[in-house]
Amino acid sequence: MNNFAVAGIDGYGGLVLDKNDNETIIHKSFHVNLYDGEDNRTEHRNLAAIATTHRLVLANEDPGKVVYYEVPLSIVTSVTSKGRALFRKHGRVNLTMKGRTGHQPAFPDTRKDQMMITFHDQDEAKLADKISKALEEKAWTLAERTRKEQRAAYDRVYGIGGIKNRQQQQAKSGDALLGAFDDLTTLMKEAQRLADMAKTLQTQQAAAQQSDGNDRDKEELASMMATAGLVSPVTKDVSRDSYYTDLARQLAGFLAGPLKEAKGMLQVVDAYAMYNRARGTALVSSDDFMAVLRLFPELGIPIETVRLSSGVSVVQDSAVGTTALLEAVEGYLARFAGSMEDLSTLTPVTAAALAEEAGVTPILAKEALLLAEKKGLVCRDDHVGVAFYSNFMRVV
Amino acid sequence: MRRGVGVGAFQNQARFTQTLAATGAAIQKTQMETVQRQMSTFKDNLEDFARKHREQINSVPEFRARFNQMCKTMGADPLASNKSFWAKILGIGEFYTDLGIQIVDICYTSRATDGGLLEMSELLRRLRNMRGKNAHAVSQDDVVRAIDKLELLEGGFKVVEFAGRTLVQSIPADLTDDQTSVMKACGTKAYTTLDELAAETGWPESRCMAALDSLMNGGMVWVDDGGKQREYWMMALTAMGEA
Repeated sequence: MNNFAVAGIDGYGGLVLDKNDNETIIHKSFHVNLYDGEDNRTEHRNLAAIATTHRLVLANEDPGKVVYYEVPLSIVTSVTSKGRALFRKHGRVNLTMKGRTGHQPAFPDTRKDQMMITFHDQDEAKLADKISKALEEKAWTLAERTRKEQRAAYDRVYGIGGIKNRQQQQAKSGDALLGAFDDLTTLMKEAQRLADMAKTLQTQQAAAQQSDGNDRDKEELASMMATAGLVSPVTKDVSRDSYYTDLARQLAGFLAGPLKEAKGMLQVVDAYAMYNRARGTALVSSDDFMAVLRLFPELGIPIETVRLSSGVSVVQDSAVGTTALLEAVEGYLARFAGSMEDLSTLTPVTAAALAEEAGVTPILAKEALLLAEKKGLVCRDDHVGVAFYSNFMRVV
Repeated sequence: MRRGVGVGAFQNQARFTQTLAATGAAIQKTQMETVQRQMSTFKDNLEDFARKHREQINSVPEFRARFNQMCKTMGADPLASNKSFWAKILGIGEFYTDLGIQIVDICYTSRATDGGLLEMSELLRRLRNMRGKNAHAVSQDDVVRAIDKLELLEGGFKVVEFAGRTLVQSIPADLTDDQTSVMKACGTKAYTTLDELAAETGWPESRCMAALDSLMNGGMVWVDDGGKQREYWMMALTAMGEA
């Protein structure tokens, strides 16, 4: 027990762990006694035994008298445990150490290189087990090992060995790639045969005029062809496929929030990007996405997909329609368009400015202005570029 | 009874047609089963292939391009649906969906400067920057395919060739012929002046200004009054470095 040193404590009276080395506590036993060797005379009662990845710490945790005694595991050479027995009232753990730590000894009166810890709560086996594991892993040597590994790795890349390695690797991957191309050709030949067969069968089915048994076959063939990527779901009827109907409901749920924020209208591209980003994984292809959008009306989901005059497709909240957008234009005009009283205040509204003010994309802001023009809210001025002025005539 | 005449013959005929139909159905059934079996075998082979070569598909653009080309030849679109075995077993769809979204991001950010037109080489450069050096390499072929898939979403994304350059467009309106002429005049230096444009096209000043104005309104051309004459810069043609 002569190898203990007093351990550092932090401001709260707790044990200080070495964070740089990732020291962690792996076990704690309460109500233990500590003995020098097996000497019953030198005993310290009612301590806690804390095993960490780096140390064994014996602690007196009486409030006001907190003190920790530590011995580094690096000097522990053996640990054994014995349970309660006929002539042994308490289980115990014995540790043997070798050498000193160079710190001021915590127990200067002790002589032995061994210590014994007796357990009132009978968890001696556990402590011994954890200490054994920690002794195997030698967490305190990790820093050193990592440095060595890094050196070795560096040499592998930059040393002569490194150059040789790379040459070998290139030769191997080059071969692998050749092999891959061969495999690809074989695979695609098979795929081609499959595709041809499926297409022929489909043509035959279409040509034949038969009863309902065939409809089921037709469906099944269509489904198989979709699995083979021979048919896009956009052109297929997916209303009875639960993958698509489930996806439709999920998407609708997701779009509710963003649609509200965007005044009821979102570009399909934006919805697509937003949704996939939110999913993070198992991303939805654009074909599937479009097929799902087309399902909305059938499923009674009040989001419609509309193609604007500019050619851009948007998803629109059916209940809101374009109302919110037009309101945004009106709002903007009221604040920024100026008035007829003082012609110098007349300011045109540009798509960019409206976009920022209303919180929509520039393309949709432009669309909003075009809509507003149709409704007679604004007038276009094509003199220099395109500008929209408030239509003061309507307030008559 | 002689065959071919009378009620009996009629009955025979009906039965014959029926048998024919039944046989036809049987043949189709067999063919269907064959296709199903072939499909199942193919899936197994595809799984083997995926196990061996997934890494190549992801990391070697040329291999990926060849794979895509072969699919196209046989009429299959491996990116069409997440339900296809291409997607499920090879996982190739996710690569392109991911790429597509990155392209959308870059184009949107860039739009403030270039009005929705970005040169392909510049897009590739920014993509590689964004993806970092640990991500899989992407080729122009990959970008073209990804944009191909984005086109379905009708957001104005497409690859266009103007005046000998490959550009990525992210706005719905196409460049007019006059606007394309302006781009030609800008050339590799990426800008033009009124004099130069007039000289190259032979247009009167009004037409030149109309074309330039329309490009400025679209945000694709910016002016620089630093030189002797006002310079009209076509941002899509400048290779602007970005952090």
